[in-house]
Amino acid sequence: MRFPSPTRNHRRENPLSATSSISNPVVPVPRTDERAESIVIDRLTVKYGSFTAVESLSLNVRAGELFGFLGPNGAGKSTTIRVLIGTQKPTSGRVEVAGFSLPKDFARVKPLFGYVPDAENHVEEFTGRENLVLFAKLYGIPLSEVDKALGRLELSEAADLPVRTYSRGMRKKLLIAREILHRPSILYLDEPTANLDRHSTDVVRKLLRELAANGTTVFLTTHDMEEVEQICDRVAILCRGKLVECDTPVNFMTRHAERNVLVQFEREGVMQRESLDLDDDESRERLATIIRTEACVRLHSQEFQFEDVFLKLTGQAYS
Amino acid sequence: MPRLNMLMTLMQREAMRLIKNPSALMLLGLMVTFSILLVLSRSEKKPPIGCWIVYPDAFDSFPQGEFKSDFLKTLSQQAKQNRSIRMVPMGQVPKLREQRVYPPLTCAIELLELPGSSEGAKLSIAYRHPGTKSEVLEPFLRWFWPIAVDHFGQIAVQEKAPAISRPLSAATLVMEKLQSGSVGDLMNEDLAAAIQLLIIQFVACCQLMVSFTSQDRERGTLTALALSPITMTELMQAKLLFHLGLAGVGSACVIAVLKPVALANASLWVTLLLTGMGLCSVGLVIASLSKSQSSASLLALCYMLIGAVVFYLATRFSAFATLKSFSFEHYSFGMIYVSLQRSIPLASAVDLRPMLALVAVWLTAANILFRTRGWK
Repeated sequence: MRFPSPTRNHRRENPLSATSSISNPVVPVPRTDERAESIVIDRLTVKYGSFTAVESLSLNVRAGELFGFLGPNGAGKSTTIRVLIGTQKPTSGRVEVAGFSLPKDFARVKPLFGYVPDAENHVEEFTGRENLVLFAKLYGIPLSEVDKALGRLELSEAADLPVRTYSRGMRKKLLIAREILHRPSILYLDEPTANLDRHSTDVVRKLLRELAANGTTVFLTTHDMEEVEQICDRVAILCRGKLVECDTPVNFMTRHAERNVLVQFEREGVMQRESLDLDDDESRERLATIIRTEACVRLHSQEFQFEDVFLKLTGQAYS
Repeated sequence: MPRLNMLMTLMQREAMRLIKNPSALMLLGLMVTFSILLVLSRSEKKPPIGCWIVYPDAFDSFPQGEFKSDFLKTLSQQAKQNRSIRMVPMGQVPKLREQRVYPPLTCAIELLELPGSSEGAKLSIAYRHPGTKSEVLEPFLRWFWPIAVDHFGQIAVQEKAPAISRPLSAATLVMEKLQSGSVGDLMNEDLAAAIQLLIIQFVACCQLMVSFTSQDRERGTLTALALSPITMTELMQAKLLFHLGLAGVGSACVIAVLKPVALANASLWVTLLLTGMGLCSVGLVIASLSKSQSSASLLALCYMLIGAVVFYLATRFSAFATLKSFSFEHYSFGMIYVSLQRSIPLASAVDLRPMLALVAVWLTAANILFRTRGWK
């Protein structure tokens, strides 16, 4: 399994930068495999009174897959996760996790997954270690695992400090450490890298890739499009409770990318800029004219980011 | 079946939270301090019990005037020798709601009437004594009786501390004592211990249950625990066991300090257990109904206020007295008080049955609410 190196990652770059490129970003290659499906969502609908939070959502997530679940606020991501962890009953539809039906087999599914919520839920009075020891005992795993988990999230030094003294980033990391203690086969994460610094973000992303490589199904929601591009095998975009599209980030980019070129030229002593769509005949003609007749100073490809894909798709869904 | 190791882990967590929670510790510390103060006040040398001989104001209108005067003179002479005895005209005794009120730790022998006829009793008296133990009157009666018999031969005892000497009806006990106005020493040790025990049950089982559970709920810790391999039954049982255990330890300390002999009273422990379970259930219901700590505190306050208002109105309106009987606290206080004084065979403790039924209702409600919404 190869991990995306930060230096090779696709970055949002200055369009005027000479080093920009129009090549596709380096992203994890999606695994086309026949692995068992870890999560099966079939025509899931969740209603709160007359409001439909999730409407006829169908999704399959394979074992060992790192699955990104995206959507604007109120799209139904959290509701879907609540159904998957068994705290919300679906109005209709079928949900299977690790082969067990929810909410019927909730008790059997519980030990199989870990859930990192958006809001941290530690026992504030306890130290980081005490929080993990509590859950280690409940899961019946050796206490030596606690130190390992703390070490993986770089929390060993702060392990014996009360959680109330932790920063928000440390609390988030402690949550992740707590939820990977029992080596779950499915890990749900709600914005795992929110409030983390750059280094900690990389640590968490690397950890998630490791977990997925070792067979853990990672199901995460995030608003960080860079994260999606970097680590996700597949991505589902949800809007207004409906699935807009589900595919690999590469395929998303390939299918929806717009090839634009930013041209900077001088006309009558005044610097001007124009952005031109290479898929449009008229724009291509215009570009050719500029290159032929004007004093072209700079020519840059304008990369279409995953964020643009997201905005395009969710914008279409809204319109 | 709940797994013992899970229960132990969860109870250990609750214990650690208690240790690390300064406000909860302060409350428990307050209980201990109160007990110590009670013991210290008991160990102090108490002032001797006094006795007032209360006679009608109109001396001269008494029949058999001289005979009567001789009697009072003899009493006065004896009283001078015994400083704890005072001769007081009836008009000087303050009254509250038509009842004569005496200072704390004071007995009273009221000379009510001296019938003129030679038939029947020539002297009618009423006794009053503080607290529930009429034995405190004995030294004075031993002194008074020979003089009275010597003078009158036949004496009618009209009243003997009426409200107090009646068999205890726990629910009405406090109000009756207050209304009688005849006893200055309203607070006795058993009453203090009963109040103390009830407060401990309330703090350990209701207040801390509401505080811890609503805090868990607000932070989402309860959801995190519920998503771990423990079952909802184990989670609830661990909470109940911890808070009942805490209340049990606190109660045992108070009983050992204030009334060690009551430690062996089975009826007392059964009452405390039922009270604790009832209060734990109330706490769980409150925590399950409220989404934040502040709303839980408000709900708990409402519960207490409504209880207090109903209990107060029950003394005035019979409809509220019926309503009061639907509260397990109504039975528990009386049972604790009575069980502190004497062991009651469980079969004959009639108050335990309605109490058990009411606690079962609360427990069922707590179970349903906690499972459906309390942990989310």
